[in-house]
Amino acid sequence: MNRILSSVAAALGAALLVPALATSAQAATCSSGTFCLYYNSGLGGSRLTLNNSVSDLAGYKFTTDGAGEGQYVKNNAASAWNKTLCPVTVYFRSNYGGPWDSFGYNQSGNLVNTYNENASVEFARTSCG
Amino acid sequence: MAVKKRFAKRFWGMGTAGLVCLLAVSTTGCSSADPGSAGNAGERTAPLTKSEDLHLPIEKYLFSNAETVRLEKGRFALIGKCLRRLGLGHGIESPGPAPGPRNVMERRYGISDLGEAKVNGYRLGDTGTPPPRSLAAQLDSLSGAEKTQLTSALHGEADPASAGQGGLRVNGVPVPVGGCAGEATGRIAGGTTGHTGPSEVARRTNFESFDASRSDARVVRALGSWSRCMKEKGYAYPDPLAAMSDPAFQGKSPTPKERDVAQADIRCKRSTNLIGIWFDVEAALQKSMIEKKGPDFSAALKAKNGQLARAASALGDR
Repeated sequence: MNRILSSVAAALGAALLVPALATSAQAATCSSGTFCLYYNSGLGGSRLTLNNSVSDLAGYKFTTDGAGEGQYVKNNAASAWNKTLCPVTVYFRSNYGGPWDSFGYNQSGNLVNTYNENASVEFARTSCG
Repeated sequence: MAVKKRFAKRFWGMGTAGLVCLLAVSTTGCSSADPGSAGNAGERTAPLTKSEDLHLPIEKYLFSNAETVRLEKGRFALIGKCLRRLGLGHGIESPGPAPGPRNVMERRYGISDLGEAKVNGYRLGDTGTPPPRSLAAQLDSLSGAEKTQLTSALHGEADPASAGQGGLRVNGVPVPVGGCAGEATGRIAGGTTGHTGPSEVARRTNFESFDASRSDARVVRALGSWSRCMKEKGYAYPDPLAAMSDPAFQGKSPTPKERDVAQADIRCKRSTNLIGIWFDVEAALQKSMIEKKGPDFSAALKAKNGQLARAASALGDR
């Protein structure tokens, strides 16, 4: 997985501010049944764990140990991991507007359409985990 | 049948250029979006009311909602098979219909459905589709030991370093690397990418065209017209995405003011032809970006079709 993410990071090149990879898979693990946003590319740095849609990430902060801990999540996330069964979508603007990145069950990767422009997160339009 | 097919092709052939043509009162040309189209504006019968009815060239290389459902059903069939191999017959409930955005255009330039705006303001309406039981809920219904067993089997989490090498076992059977989910994803993905879903080149182009379109002179002018139209109605926003991002519109339910602004937003989009102009510009940008990377996009399409074929065959031999 790291190899894939690295090549993505390389492909994105200058668009990535901090192409750091997670120090270990365990540290970056997102819990089953949740969706995680990471401060760094390649599931690196501090993360935020979500269980439901958020129409505006304003006020949310990265909570776990690592780079970016305590920083705001809105327009500041670089990668994501979906450990819920349904697709979860990250949007460019609040209220689920603009281009988006969608992740299916257990899919992870760098944000492309919403890299450091992540304002809202949509779980299923009805609740889904 | 043949007649129907031809009709469908003709209809979709004019889907981009034809629809845009009607919208594009002030834009630079109807033929630019799809020169291959045989249609013309006069053939169109229904008025465009929703931006999701427009289709960008990149959508061919991404996965539609229906395609995502097919992909996920195939992947979950393989996951179920793997879990049974590990003696976990109860498995997990697979997802229902894809619940995400209807397509890349739905809210790309903000909202466009006046009927929805009257009721929901800028919020997403409830589709009424019953959700599958969440994984968290499914895990919570299990005992501690069963839960550990299932998450180990699904994700190979307990000890990634030794998974598949005799280290991680469930009911005495070795768990594949990345768990059943990882194994299923790898099989559907095929090749060397290891992930399912659209290729990076398609995802990147989807954003690059959007980003570039925002500084295109025609889009900048149209945004200016929209903004002036909103100003005349008493609302100050530089663009529709800024309007929907207004912190005042993020509470639990829409206020009357939000509904008013959302409707004004759409009326101004219509009177200024903002969506038509923006779409036309972005479709042309995408077309040129796709042409410049022809071999990459051919590979992207091949990878997508391969995933869908493998998902279909996984469903077939459950």
